[in-house]
Amino acid sequence: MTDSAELSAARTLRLALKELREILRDRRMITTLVLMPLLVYPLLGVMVKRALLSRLESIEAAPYRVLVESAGQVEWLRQLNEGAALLPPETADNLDNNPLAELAASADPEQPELEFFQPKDGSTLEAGVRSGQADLGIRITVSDSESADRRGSLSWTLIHRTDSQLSADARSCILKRLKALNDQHIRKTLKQHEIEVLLPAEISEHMVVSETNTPAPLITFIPLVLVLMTMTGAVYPAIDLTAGERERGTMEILIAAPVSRMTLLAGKFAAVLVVALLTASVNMLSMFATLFTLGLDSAVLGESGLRIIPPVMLMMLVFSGFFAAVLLSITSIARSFKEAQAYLIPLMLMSLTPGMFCLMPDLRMGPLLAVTPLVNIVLAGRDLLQSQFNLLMFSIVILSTTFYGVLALAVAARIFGSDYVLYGSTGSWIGLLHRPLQRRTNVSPSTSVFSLAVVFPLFIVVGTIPGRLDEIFGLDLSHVLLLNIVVFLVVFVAVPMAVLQLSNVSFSSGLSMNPRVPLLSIASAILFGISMWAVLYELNLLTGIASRAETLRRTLETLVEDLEKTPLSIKLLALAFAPALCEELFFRGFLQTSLRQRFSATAAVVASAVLFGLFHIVVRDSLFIERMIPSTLMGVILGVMLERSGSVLPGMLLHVLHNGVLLCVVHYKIQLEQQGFGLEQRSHLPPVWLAVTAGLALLAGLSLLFTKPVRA
Amino acid sequence: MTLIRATELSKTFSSAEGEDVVAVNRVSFDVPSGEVFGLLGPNGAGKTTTLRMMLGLLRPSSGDACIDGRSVTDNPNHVKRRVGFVSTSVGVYQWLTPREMLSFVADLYDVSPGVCRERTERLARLLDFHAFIDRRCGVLSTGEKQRINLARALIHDPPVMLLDEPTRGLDIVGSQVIFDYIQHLRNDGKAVVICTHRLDEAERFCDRFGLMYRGALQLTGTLPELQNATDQTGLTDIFIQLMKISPQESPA
Repeated sequence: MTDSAELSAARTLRLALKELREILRDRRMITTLVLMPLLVYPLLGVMVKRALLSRLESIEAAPYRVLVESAGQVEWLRQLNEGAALLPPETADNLDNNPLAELAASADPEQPELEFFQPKDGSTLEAGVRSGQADLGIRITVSDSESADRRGSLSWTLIHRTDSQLSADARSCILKRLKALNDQHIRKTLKQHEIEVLLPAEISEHMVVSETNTPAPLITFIPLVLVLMTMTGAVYPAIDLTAGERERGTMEILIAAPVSRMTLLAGKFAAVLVVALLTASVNMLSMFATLFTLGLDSAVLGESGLRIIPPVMLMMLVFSGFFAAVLLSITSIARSFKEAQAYLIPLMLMSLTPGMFCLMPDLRMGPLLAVTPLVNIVLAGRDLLQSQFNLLMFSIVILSTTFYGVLALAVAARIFGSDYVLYGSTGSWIGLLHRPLQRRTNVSPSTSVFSLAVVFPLFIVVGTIPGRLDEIFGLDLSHVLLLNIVVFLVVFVAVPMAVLQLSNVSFSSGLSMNPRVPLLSIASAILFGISMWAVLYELNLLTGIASRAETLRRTLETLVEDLEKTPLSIKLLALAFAPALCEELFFRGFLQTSLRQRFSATAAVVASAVLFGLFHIVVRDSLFIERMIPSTLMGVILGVMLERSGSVLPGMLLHVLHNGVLLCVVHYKIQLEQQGFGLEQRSHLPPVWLAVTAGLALLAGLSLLFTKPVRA
Repeated sequence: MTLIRATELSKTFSSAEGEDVVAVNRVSFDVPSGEVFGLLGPNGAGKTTTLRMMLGLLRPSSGDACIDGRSVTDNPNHVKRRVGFVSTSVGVYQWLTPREMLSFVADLYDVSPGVCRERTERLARLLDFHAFIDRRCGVLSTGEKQRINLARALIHDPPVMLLDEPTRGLDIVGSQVIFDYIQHLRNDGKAVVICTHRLDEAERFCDRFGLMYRGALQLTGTLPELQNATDQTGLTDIFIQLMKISPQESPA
């Protein structure tokens, strides 16, 4: 035992080398992972470049087609455009001789050609432009004013189309020329009369480089691209080295050998890491080579140029490590290639969402984001590319990612070669789909976690429906709130009920709807229910940041105003009763009860509380991260309440009271302000209130401590 | 010297429906050095599960197996070093050559490269795979792969060999290789357990038999002992007799 432990680093290396030898000899693998990118990027690059060029060419080549009313005007404008100072016959004596030459001279030599012509079938200029026959119509008339100061002026009407960029460009081209003509004329006239003019606004422009160093728009895509590259690189070897071993029958060789599974997995991890790195490197190399060869580098990379290579390599290493570990942990569960693919596809799609975070320039890396798996490395990558380097945050990111990687590998080592994987001895995922014939008391933790995976997206999707309906029909807040009750019922009640029904589990046992409730727990629930708002308010004051509170207040201003106008009864129904009852049913009754079967009380309480907290940080379309701590704390108290009382009912009472009291406090805040409550000013509660509520909470905690479930 | 001792080995699986299924029920037997013990029984009798528990691949629900005097539950790695394992369900690494695969497995068992080279040569002579020792395993025939697997099980020279249905899917030539291999193991003084439902074959190469049925070991002994106990001559007849008198109901 000891000797193998001492040698495990060298052994890991040898294992990794063997795995790599095997993977890299597989020609299909080399084709997909290495040759494909070598071919795809140049091809893609050439196509992009061709598309860009042909667009440019078409713009450069196509002259603006300008429609004018008479053949005489066509000829005049044509000559004008070519620089000849020729006047239309009917206006010759109305104009100075010179300005037309200047008009032509003012024309930018780089401006596209202008092509003048008459309407073909004698239709109007408007009809010609509207039908797309021309980009612009010009109607030139001699000003009919007889006054002396209008002498020599022509009236130009430009007819252009709203939906065409070409039309808009033609318009601005002509407009620019006419403006130049006018300006020149004014200057000349002023000079003739020897008038010095001081314009009220002297305009000059000066361009500076932005201090925030806004990167080229495409550079922020790089973390997302890297997520895709490292993940695709890791997928095949991860499956091959875990589920593949099982499928080929070589897993028994490894499990029968006197080598720890962690060492085996470490070797596999190193091999997957190398392949992922290799794939990402080939991709990157091919991509950069294509960009430079085709001269697209400045368009994509902006000013950073080659300086982005070291951060990209660092990111590649971190991403590859993360995905190698996570993918191995997932593919270890699978018993075949097919099964592994079925597990990985949802994961890959899910990974794209955090990948998108790099495209949000305003999302700042904070402590919570720095420990959120995948999101943290994506954001760190983005910041690194933009040279917004924060050493503290960066260390947190690297440390937490390492931790997640090790955790994932430990999970993989636990699963790899277990009875379940090796011989399929204890059920399977398919078992979820069969309705068991025997009546059971609880759903299994895997089923409840599966339900969670249904509830979360449902919560996000269905949760937006009342808001959408409000946008379409302009509902008032009472109706939106009532619709929210339906959302709660669908998400937190219908789903667990359906799962219980499918699993043949009775509602009373599966949801811990035990009517035998210890009296002490009811007392504790009431005490907590009326005191926790104050504790959480003070907690918020202590942990919250004033500026952030201000942002939140502004974000929610309209909502708060609308809420003030809503009757208290509806608020209590929609914001106290419905959420409290539904959430308790799901998070405690369903989830915690199910988790409790396999895990310790602490683990079950903490897990359901953290999930409860996570659901609470999503409010309307934003993340309210500061709600995490108070909500999780509430979740822990409610979880302990279920654990101690053996029933979900006291928790429901607590939750309803808590939400209700909180709503009343906000509803009567003006009256309360007269009592010395400065809720708006974020000042601490009056000392007497603080003491009373703290005392009640303490009492509640004590009574909970002595609560024992009623035994049947 | 007793190298293998199974004591009241039991294994209970829980099915997807949450019911408990007893796969192996208090199985006990001893195998001394140089003896080939046949664990016989129909499909689903619990033979393979018993073997997997002795190998440390499955954890017994109760009871224990001792290999070379050490408990498999308490010293799994000590036991794993002393056991060789052959099964037709065990595959080969498609992209490695037999030579590479043997040196990889030898490394797992901490066999030094020099010893490994020498043993590979010896096994290549014994099992006659010199011709394809440097070809990749993916292109080998079933019989050739089986020979590589037999060599793989012996590369760390274990005193105990466990063979699970070693002749399944093999032709006459392949089966003959197995018979020679077993003879070699016996001559080498190894304690061998073979699981099989091929009673005719078992009669040819086993010294002693354990007849398993519905998870329990019903009868153990040499062929004459079994014949005396059941008044039947062949192993097949003995087995049919045993199934009739078995206290449990026969499977549906």
